[in-house]
Amino acid sequence: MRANLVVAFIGMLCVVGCGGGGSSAVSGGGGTPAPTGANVQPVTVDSGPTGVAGTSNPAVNTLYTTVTLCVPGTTTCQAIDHIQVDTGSSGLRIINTALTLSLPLQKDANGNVIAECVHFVDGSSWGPIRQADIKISGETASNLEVQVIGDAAYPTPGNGCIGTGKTAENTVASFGANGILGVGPFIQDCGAACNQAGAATYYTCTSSTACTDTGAIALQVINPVTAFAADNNGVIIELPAVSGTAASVSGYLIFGIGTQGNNGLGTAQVVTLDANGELTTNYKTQVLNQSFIDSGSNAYYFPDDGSIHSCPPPPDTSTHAPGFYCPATTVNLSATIVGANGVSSSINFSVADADSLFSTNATVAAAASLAAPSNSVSANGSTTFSGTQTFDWGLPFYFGHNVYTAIENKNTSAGVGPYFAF
Amino acid sequence: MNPASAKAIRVLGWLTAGVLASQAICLPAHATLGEDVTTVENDLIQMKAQLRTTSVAGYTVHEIQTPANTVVREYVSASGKVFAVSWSGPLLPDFRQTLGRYFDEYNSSASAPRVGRRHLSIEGTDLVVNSYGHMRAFYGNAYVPSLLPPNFSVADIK
Repeated sequence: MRANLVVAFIGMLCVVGCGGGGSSAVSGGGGTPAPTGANVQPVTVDSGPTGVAGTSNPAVNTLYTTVTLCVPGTTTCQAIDHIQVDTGSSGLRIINTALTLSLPLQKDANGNVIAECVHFVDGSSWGPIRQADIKISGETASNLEVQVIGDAAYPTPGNGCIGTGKTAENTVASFGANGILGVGPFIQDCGAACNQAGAATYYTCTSSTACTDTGAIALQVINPVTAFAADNNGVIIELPAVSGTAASVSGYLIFGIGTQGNNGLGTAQVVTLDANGELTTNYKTQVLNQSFIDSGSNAYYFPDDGSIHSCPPPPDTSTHAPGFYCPATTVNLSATIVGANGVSSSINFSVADADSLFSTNATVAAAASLAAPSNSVSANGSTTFSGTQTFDWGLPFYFGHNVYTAIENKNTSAGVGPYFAF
Repeated sequence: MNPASAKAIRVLGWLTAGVLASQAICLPAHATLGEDVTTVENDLIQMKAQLRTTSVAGYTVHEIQTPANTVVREYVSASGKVFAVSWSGPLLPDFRQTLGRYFDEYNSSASAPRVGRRHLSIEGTDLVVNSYGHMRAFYGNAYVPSLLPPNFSVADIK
């Protein structure tokens, strides 16, 4: 939400006169030479797919790749660009308008179609589960469950889905991508929480408009990596450092950890995760035990202690960056990530004035020092709210770090997942 | 007494109250954000949930745990109004139930175009919502500034 409100103003400025854009393209990551192999997939950070880039709401700090889907067992395939790469979720989801293939519907043992209301922080996305063979780099996941969001064949969210908030994330424009590739630390997207009715997540449909929250079903959407024949214990995201801002960034998504010559852990530190996929961050005097590393977050989000000025949050529109940190001068900070295994790593990061980051005519698809409070100032504007226990290490953390995500219950050269390493 | 020890004592009192309340089987009444506490236990029925109640100076916290292990806490003032709610767990709560009359305002704000989907902050005219987290771990809170008890710090919404 914040990012799009920010960039809405860039669009308006560009109407006045955008030349070639001032920011540069940055490529690399993973050192030299560039990684090669059947498990190496190119990724980019840019302004988004058609329908997002060049609009009033282009993407910021959003990592994309291209995924090929095929009708199972056939060579009838479609490559879909600008699928967001997300270590904060599990499973492949495609926006229906980006999909031209006719994929078979996944059905339960009774022959009923399965649909999903997948929860995001600000709402949910609705659509049935279909089956596809997935091809990414040289890896294949056969007969994989894929959620088709906004699928016209099953248009009506089931009861309970409405209560998660408006199911608004059903278009490319609202999603900011043609789909999302969840390659997080979990195998299933929902896990045990969906083993009963009332979870408002998995539904069985007796018709195109009659879907019921029936509780436990055998099938969930899964992390596609776990369905590969090899290199299936995790991923590495390798992106170069970004100095200030960039119009685009390119790097690599590498499948497997310690399974090939190109995906060893090297000197990376392993921080293990709790049952929620989370770790602890020590920031100033705060011990934030609901912290996470997430390529699907577009900024650093951490509690506001009142020391860094914030632009007023939405719906305020008096700045280019409502809700983001807007210090008068860039602030250099550090925080310590502590894994469940006690391993700790001190991380330096910077917080720039988001208002000025987005006040130029240049295309800004990547911003290394973009940060926001993980809480809002209270309505009276004078008291800061510090209830959050979260430090979200978003995509800016990935700029200049090779970040490993090891999947739960999977063996790696550094032990069993889940963990992050960097 | 310095502020740190005062806080520690208050937390201890909170926990003690929780133990006492959880030993009492009778279910206190509660309702949704902005509503009066009533004898209607809609939330419990809707969420098929269990309830625990604790009291601290000036307000009461009703803690509801759904079968999916999402915990919803409702903060009730001495005058009987639900002035804040918070949630924590693997799935979002039903916001129609927990936000009540504020659901529409939340909904229209939440559906504004955006890219990031791990954080949401809304400051409406008399509604503040913070929602954050990721798949399998959702956190958040909502409160009505005009209903906050005197001297209540929103930092105490846990």
